[in-house]
Amino acid sequence: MKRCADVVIIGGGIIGCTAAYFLSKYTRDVVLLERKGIASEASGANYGMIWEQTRQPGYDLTMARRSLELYPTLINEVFDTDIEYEKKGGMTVFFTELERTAAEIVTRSKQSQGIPLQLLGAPEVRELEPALSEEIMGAVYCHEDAQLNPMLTTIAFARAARKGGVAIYTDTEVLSIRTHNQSVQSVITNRGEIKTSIVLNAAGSWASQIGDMVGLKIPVYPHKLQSFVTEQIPHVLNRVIQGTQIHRDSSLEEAVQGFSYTRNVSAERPRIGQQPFHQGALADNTMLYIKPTVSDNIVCGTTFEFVGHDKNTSYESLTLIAANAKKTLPQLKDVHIIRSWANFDPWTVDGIPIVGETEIGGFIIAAGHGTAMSHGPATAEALAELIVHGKPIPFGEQASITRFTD
Amino acid sequence: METELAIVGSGPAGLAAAIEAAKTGVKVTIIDENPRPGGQLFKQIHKFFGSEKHKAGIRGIDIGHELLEQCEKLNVQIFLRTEVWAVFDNGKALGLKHANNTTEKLNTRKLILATGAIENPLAFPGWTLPGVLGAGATQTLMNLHRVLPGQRVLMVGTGNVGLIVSYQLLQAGADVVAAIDILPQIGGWGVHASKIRRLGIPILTSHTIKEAFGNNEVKGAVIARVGQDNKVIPETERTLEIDTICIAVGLSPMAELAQSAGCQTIHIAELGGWTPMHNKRMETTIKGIYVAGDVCGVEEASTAMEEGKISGIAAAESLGYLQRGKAKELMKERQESLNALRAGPFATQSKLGKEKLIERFHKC
Ligand SMILES: Cc1cc2nc3c(=O)[nH]c(=O)nc-3n(C[C@H](O)[C@H](O)[C@H](O)COP(=O)(O)OP(=O)(O)OC[C@H]3O[C@@H](n4cnc5c(N)ncnc54)[C@H](O)[C@@H]3O)c2cc1C
Ligand SMILES: Cc1cc2nc3c(=O)[nH]c(=O)nc-3n(C[C@H](O)[C@H](O)[C@H](O)COP(=O)(O)OP(=O)(O)OC[C@H]3O[C@@H](n4cnc5c(N)ncnc54)[C@H](O)[C@@H]3O)c2cc1C
Repeated sequence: MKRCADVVIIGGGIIGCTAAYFLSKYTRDVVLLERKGIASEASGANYGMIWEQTRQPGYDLTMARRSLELYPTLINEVFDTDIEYEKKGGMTVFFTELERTAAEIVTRSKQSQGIPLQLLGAPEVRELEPALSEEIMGAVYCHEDAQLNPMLTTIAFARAARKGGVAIYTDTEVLSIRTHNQSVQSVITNRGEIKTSIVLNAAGSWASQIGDMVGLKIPVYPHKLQSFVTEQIPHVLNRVIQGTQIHRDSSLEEAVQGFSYTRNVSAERPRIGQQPFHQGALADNTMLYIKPTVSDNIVCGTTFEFVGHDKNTSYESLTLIAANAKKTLPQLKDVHIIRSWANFDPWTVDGIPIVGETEIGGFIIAAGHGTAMSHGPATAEALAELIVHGKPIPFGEQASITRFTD
Repeated sequence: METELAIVGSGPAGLAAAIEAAKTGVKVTIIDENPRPGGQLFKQIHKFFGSEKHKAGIRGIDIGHELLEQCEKLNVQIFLRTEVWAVFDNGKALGLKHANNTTEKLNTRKLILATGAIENPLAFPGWTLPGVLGAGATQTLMNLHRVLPGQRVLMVGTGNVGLIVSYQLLQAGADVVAAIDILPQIGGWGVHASKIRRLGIPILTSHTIKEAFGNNEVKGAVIARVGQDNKVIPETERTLEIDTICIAVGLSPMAELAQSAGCQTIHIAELGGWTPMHNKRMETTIKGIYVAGDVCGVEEASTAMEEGKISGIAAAESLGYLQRGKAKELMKERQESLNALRAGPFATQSKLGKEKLIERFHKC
């Protein structure tokens, strides 16, 4: 193992691997440390949606858009393997009047932000997706939205980084970080110590544990999502379908917020230590995702829980997901589940990741991403600019850790 | 629903485990996806080999009836046409899918996974044509459903399964055109091989299948000789006119449930591939989850039953139905019997594999 490096990246998920690749364009002296294997946590367990429709204006939308620009170039010029990228548009379906009213409001406001949303009626939905349930009233549709295979994508970035000279060490766990005068000195792993002046904390939902190593509170919490995948079925679904998080007894205001998982950013300033909201019944914390993979296995999700890093799947969650999926795509009725899993969305209170420098010299964070498959390439590009040229991150104040303390 | 011991799979391993545990008073529930219990046993209409103590001379199907009768007497609950689709909470709960398409959660204190093995596929041009099927599937079709899959058959693989199924195909009135094997020697027992040779089936070693052809179903196959490097020797190709190709190229443990439950697995070629690790009590790396039979090493019905019994005794003991000393004594008997089974000249591979497996368990 190398004994010193310009930059040490902690975490071999999409954030760590994209950062490794973009940094490799400027320096050959980058090390990436991953406790398990590449893409063995959230970045290998998600739905691979690269969506614009659910993004919030400012930092979030800027990163999502830039990545949508970057992916085709990366695919054509950089990756040596297929990542199953398909730009087929994204669809959020709804079943009730309340949801429709909320959809109208959300569509109008997003259109004013320049996001090309369309409100579809039932016939238009079925024209695009004939197999969806007759009960669906309509959908919000965005033709800019794309999807990819998250595991292949993360691995493709890791390969590109390696080609660029990055040393990637898997099965290598960071145990502590040595600092001197509030600046990073070295990283200590189960395989030895690496001297460095820059550490990038890309440990996803484990970012706060890495923060503890330098005495920094990082308010990222593991948000547990359960999923399963079905056996291969005949081709009936063309694109990822999402549901809403609106309940029958939601108010219209709640409905608008619950639509497409949008959070109200203009709310009170988030604070360190602000805990994830308490949940209530699992049935009230479900949200539909159905994703056809290129081989026509259908990935279905999900339920939301705050239970620490507990990776067990549960009967209650999987049957709720199955019921939701079947309601939306009735042909799933007689299909076998072949595998189920749980992983963690790295959660922050305002839904915006924590990206940028900190009060500890050389300790940079890029964690807390709810949608890093989408943000990843753009975030990495911005981080490389920051680390190499000292260039500020676009809308950086929205993503800065100082928003929790200043 | 609640039970004390849930057993997935009603093959010889699962049934033997159930009997051993139920005898001591444990409440046992068996779940199997098939319409009939017995696992592989009911298609095995041939007499088993080995010592008498191990039911040699008895047909698989008769062993099955005997085991089922005992289960009935002991009030073992058996759910048929029921799939176990997931294991939760470290083996303390199962997701069931019943025949009527409803799901149910079964809570249990202990779990035995006796899910058996699955036939290995073999890929060659034309391998997805109707008419290409597994030898085990062929056996099920013939002996259980009384359907002969074809008239002119090519058997690929000359292990015991390939040889026995070839013989049964002849008995059922089909013509086995050839039994081929890529290895230079026959994989199965000499007795089986000479039996089918006497009946005129050519056994071609150092041969492989190059392709199957036909528009909507198998019309024929091209076979060829291979050299020491297992590559086809040019101009040794031969076309056979056939309508059925049976693939008998080994089995792999069906360890998915164990894996998804979180049991650690290890790849042991002698046992057929990825297998859950277990100790001498058949307990996996997760306390309270046991394995028995082909799922933890492809062997035979006789060894599957012995392993089943051991797992049943271990589960009964840990549930408090058997005293430690008594359990030890019972287990010792079963272990000796198992050792005797694995002492035979044909069992050296699996004996080796099992030793590796148990050694690795204790290292981790
Ligand atoms: C079910 C589900 C569906 C999702 N769907 C989407 C989607 O459709 N689109 C989208 O954009 N996003 C989606 N997300 C979110 C997305 O998965 C995450 O934003 C993304 O994977 C986070 O990437 P990451 O690199 O920050 O974290 P991770 O992928 O979790 O990587 C962090 C890595 O750090 C390693 N690590 C931790 N501690 C240490 C240590 N001490 N030493 C060394 N290594 C360490 C971990 O092993 C891990 O590999 C979904 C998430 C889930 C759970
Ligand atoms: C052609 C052939 C000939 C053989 N001849 C002999 C012989 O002469 N002598 C001998 O000793 N052995 C013989 N064997 C081997 C013997 O049949 C097997 O070793 C034995 O059946 C293994 O028993 P088991 O209980 O482990 O698995 P199985 O008998 O395979 O039973 C497993 C059961 O579990 C069920 N199951 C699996 N997963 C699930 C799930 N998720 N939900 C519900 N149910 C599930 C399966 O459907 C099956 O019914 C032969 C095998 C074959 C194929």
